[in-house]
Amino acid sequence: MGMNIKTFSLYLLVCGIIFAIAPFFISSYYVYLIALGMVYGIWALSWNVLFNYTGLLSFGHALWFALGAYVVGLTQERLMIMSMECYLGLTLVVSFILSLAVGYLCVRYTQIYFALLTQGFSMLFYAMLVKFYSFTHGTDGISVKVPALLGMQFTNVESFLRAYYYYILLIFLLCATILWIMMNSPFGKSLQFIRDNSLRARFIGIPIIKYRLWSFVIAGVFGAISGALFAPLNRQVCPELTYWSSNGNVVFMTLLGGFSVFAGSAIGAIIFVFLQNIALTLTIYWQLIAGIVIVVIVYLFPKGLTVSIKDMVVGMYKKVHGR
Amino acid sequence: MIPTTLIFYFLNGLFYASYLFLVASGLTIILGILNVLNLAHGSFYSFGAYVAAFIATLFLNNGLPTPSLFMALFMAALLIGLMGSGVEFSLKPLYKRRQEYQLLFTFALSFIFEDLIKLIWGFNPWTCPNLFAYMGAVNILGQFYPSYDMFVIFIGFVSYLFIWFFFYHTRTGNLARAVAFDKEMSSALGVNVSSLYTKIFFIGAFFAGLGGALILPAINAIPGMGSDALGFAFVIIVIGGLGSVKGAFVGSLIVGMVRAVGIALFPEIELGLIFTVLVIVLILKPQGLFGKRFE
Repeated sequence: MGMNIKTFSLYLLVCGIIFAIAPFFISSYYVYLIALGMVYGIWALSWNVLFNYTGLLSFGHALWFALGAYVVGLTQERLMIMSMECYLGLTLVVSFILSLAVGYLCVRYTQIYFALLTQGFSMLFYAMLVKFYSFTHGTDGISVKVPALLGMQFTNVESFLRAYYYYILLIFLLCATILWIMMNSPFGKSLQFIRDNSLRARFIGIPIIKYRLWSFVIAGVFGAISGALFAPLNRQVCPELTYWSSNGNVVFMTLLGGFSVFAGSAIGAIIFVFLQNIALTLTIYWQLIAGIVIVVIVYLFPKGLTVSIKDMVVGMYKKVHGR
Repeated sequence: MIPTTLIFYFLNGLFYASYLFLVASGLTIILGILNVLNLAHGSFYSFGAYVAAFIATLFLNNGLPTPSLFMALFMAALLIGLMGSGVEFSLKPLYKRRQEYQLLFTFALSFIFEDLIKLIWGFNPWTCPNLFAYMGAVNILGQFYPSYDMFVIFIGFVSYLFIWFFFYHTRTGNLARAVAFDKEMSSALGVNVSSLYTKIFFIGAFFAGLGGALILPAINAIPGMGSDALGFAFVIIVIGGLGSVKGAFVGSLIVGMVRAVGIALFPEIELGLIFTVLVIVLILKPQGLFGKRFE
């Protein structure tokens, strides 16, 4: 909002430098958590392409995450390929085709209808992963071995994690840049116009169904990339990735960070990872806590936590300085 | 031989259709009149089963006879109805906001409810097979079919008749249809929209709770049963047309039958079959089979 490409690159550069030097000061466990936060960050950014920029609330975005993760798991197990770049390439192709097909059926609907359908497809995918036991190992999932990054082999899990952190960081920055440019291009502006007034958008000649479909495909492909990155990090993929609660997590991340600004969902994803990490050491009823936090946010901070806090601080500043 | 098998598939289909209709009808009524998609509806269903198990156990421990368990099932459904009214009450401040906030809110509630079930009743399955055994079985062409399943089918049909009667032949029902048609105008003409919404939520939750309570003697109550039922209910109301009770009825029959055949013949792709039906309906008739609001 009102940010030009120069300011954006500056923010991105600062963020990149901080994240790049962070691993020198923290333990491997925190390296893992931040890497996970960035993976979820890509996922949440892609969800917000649909929610904030296109005005479509998807309750089935975990489908794409799980799709990417299973592309990695299955390619490794069935085809014995060990190259991360190869996984990412395959993920791009598979998720592009599938999101085009699913999107074709979904984007003619909006609001609750859209939420319902996307949720349905995600549950269908879950059922397929569980039922086709011989192919996917059902609820046991598939364990993922450490792949080669840019042709480099790793024998030590620790050194892989440190290298993979930078790999994820680069892809995260790349995805954020691509998405930011897309959302601030004429295409992105048209999406926001469709969100605000689809009837008027249609009158001035924007093909709204086609634009919504492209938005869906973008969200699906980037969601799948984050899932593909997740698989070697977690070293295990299972059908729960596309379960009901997983769909909720991405919504929760974005709400935490604030959906009305571009970076909000990515910030929310990192907060989410740390919050979940703390909560799970205290209680197994993580969903209960998440649910209560969402209720509080919906009631009191409708713009999302970080944005509301920022507004509050700015408001207080103005009050103090009498402006 | 084959006719008997077919009859059993048919009865199983009706059985699935009946309890799924109870869940789907509440969902579609709330959606049609309040324009809120209640994502916590699956939790009403699972709460119905758990509360029924709890009351039934209480009854049996106090030495009440087995038929009194019918009463326990009904009481559970009433309690879930009250719970629904409570949910509606907490939704009231959100009606003037964008619809997405109501969705997020009920979504958060479903998170909370699912964990509350685990917190209160633990992770072990709960059941109450006494009623199932008590009712025995009927003989159909030399094969036995549980009478309890017949009873559930019967309740399913009675519920449909009740809902139809409520919306077309009672004052509250007619007012509800008027509010669904034009909320501002009804309000201007003196309809108390707020209390009407609470009543509609009560009815919707009551039927979902009844569905859960009724299914309890036939199966186990387990965590996660709510989201499974909600998934089926979604499919049903999309096939039938959002907001249409008749659509929910026909949709339940279709899904119930497909499910019965699917489970018996192709268990691996049972859900795939149901979704194939859904996709076909969506392509041919995007608004669903009976897709229009209460008018």
